[in-house]
Amino acid sequence: MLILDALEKRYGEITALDRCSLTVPPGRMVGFLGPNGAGKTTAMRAVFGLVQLDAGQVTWKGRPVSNEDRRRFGYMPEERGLYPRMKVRDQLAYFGRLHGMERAAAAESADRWIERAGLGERAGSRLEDLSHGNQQRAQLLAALVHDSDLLVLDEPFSGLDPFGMEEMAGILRGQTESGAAVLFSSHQLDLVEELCDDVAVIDRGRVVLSGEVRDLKERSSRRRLELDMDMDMDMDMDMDAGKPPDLGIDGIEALESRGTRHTMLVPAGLDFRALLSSLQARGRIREFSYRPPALSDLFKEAVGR
Amino acid sequence: MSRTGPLRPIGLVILRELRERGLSKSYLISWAVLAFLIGVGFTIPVLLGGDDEQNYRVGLVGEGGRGVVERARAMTADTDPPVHIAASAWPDRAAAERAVAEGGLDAALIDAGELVVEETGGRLENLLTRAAALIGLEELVSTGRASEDVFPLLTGQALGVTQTTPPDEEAAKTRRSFISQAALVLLFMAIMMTGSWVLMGVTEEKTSRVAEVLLSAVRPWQVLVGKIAGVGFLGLLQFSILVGVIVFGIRRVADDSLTAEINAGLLTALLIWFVLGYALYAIAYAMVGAVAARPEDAQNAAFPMTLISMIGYFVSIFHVADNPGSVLSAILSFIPPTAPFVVSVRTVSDSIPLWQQAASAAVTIAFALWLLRAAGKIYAGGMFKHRSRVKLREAFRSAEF
Repeated sequence: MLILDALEKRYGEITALDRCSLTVPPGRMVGFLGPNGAGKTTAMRAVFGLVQLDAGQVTWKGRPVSNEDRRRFGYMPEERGLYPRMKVRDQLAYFGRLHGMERAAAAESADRWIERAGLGERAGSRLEDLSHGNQQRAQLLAALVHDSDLLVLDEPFSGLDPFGMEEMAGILRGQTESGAAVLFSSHQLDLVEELCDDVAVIDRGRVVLSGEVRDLKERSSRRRLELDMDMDMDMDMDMDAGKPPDLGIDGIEALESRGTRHTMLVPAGLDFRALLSSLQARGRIREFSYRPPALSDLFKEAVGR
Repeated sequence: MSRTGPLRPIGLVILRELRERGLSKSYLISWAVLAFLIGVGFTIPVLLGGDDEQNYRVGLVGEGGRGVVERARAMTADTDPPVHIAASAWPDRAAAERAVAEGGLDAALIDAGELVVEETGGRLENLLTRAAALIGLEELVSTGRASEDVFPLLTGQALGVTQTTPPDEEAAKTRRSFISQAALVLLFMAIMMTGSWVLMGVTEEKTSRVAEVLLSAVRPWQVLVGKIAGVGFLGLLQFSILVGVIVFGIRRVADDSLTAEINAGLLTALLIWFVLGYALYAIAYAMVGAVAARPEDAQNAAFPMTLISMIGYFVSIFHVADNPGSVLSAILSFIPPTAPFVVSVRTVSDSIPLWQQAASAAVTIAFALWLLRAAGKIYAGGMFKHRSRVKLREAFRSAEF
C-alpha cells in the first residue's frame, strides 16, 4: 500500500503541498483530482523522490519508499517524454532493464506489451515517427513494461481519442485485477467516476475529499435531480430565463437548465415521491431522475468552486 | 527477475549511449570526417614528397663514364630517401648535349673526363664529381703514387667539426616539441568534440522530457556517470585510432628517433589525461546542458567552459611548451581545468616529476568528483525547468535530490 502521509512542500511563497495525505491500496484504482495547480503533479513526483519534501513522508508497504521500491513502480509524468530517435521496442526494453529486469525478460515483456497495445507493426519505428496517440501508448507502456507494483500516471488520458481511452482504461483495469495499485490524475471526471474505485480530491495542496467513490456519493448530503417536463405558464417564464422551476424546496442548487431539461442538487433527505406527485400535478413529466450526486458534483463541492 | 546495485543502471546507460550514439548519424559522420582527415594527412606528404625519391638520368658518351655512374650508385646505395641513377648510351656529344638542354637528360658524361649539365651546382653534379674523384684517388693509391691519408683531405673532411649542443639532445628537443604540440591539438579536439556530445545528449534528454521518466528509476549521478562514460568511450575510441594512425604514419614517413620518443609510458600518460580532462569538461558540459532550454541555447551556455578550455590550451602552447619547468607551469598543473593540457605537455617534455603528475591527477579527480556532485544537483534541478534558460545557481538550489 502506498501512503502519502502529511506531505508538505513550499516553493518560496507558494504552498504546493499542505499536509497532503492519501492512500493507494494494492488492487485499487485511485483517481487523483484537483484544479490546475492544486498540487497533483508535486504529490506524484514526491512518490519518486523527485521532490524534496519539507515535511511528511511517502511509504510503501509500511516503510519509507526506497530506490529499490521505486524500481518496482511505473511512472507516466505529465510532461511526456521518451527518446525521440530510439526505436519503440528498444526503448521499452531499456526502461524495463533500468527497472531491474534481465535482458531477455525485458525484451519479452516489451514485445508482449507492444502487441497488447496494438503497436506491433510500429515496434521497430522511432518514437518520433509515431502518431501522437501511439506515442502516448508507448509512454504508458514504459510505465508498465516492468510489471509494476504501483502505477503513478499523471493525466494518462489527455490527448487520447475515445478508442484510445477505452483501450487505456482496459489496460489499467487489468493491472488492478492483477494486484497493482494505480494512482492517476485526470480532469475527466466522468471517466474517473466510471473507472476508479477510490478518489482523492486535492485543493491548494491539501486532500479535501477522499474515499471510495460509491461511499462518498452515498454519504453526500445532496442528491442529483434531473427533470424533463412541460410546465404551466408561470413556470415557462422561469424556464425562458434559463432558471430551474420553483419546486418549493429549500437548499436547491441549480446546475443546468436547457429548454425543458433541468438539473439540480437537492438535499438528500428530500421526499422525492412527494415531489414527483406535486410535479405531476403541474405538467407532463418526460423524465424524472433522483440519484446520488455525480463525482463532478462532489468535486465542485469539495473545492468550493 | 530483478537485479540491483548502483553500478547496474550506470552500465545500462553506458550501453544505451554506445548503441544509440555509436550508430547515430552524427557519430558516423564524425568517423567519415576522421577518415577523410587521416586520408588527407597521408596523401599530402605523398604528393608533396614526390621529390623525396630522386631519379636522375645520365647520358654516357663513350664507355669511360659507366664506372663513374656505378661508383655514384654505390655511394648512394643506403641513402634515404633513395637515389636512382639511370644511365644510357649516346652516340655523340652533340646529341647528348641537346638532350640535356631539352631536359631529356639530367647530365651527360663525356667519357670519364667531362660532365655536361644544364646548370652547375646540383646534387647529381656533386655526386658524379665525387665519384670520379674517388676513382682517381683509388687509382693513385693503388699505383703507389699517393697515400691513403689523402682520402679525408680530398673528400671534404679536412676539418673535424664540433657542435656545442649535443646533437642527440637538440634533435630530441625538437622532436618533443613536435609531439607535444600534436598531442595538445589532439587532446583539445578530443575533449571539445566529445564534451559537446555530452552537452547535446543532456540537452536532448531535457528537451525531450525523458529525464523525468529516467529519474523516477535512476539517480541523477548514475545517469550522468553512465552518459559521460558511454560517450567518453566512443570519443576515446576515435581519439585512440587517430593517435594510432598518426603514430603509424610518422613511423612510415619519419625516422625512428621520432617514434622512439612516443613510448608506452607517454601514451599511457596521454590516455590518463584525456580521460581526466574529458571527464572534467564533460561533467561541466552536462551541467550546462541541464540548464539550457533548447539545443541552440546549449552552445551559448557552454561558451564559458569552452573559453576556459581554450585558455588551458593556449597557455600550454605559448608558455608551457617552451617553459615546461617554470613556476607558472607548475602552478597551472594543479588547477584542474588547465591541468590536462599543461601536464600532458610537461609529460611529453619529460619535465614534470612523477609526484607532481600523481598529485595533479589526484587534485583533478577530487575536483571532478566534487563537480559531479554539483552537476547531479544541477541536472536534477535544471531538468524540470523548461520555460527558459536557468541559472546554474538557481538550478543547484532548486535541485530536489
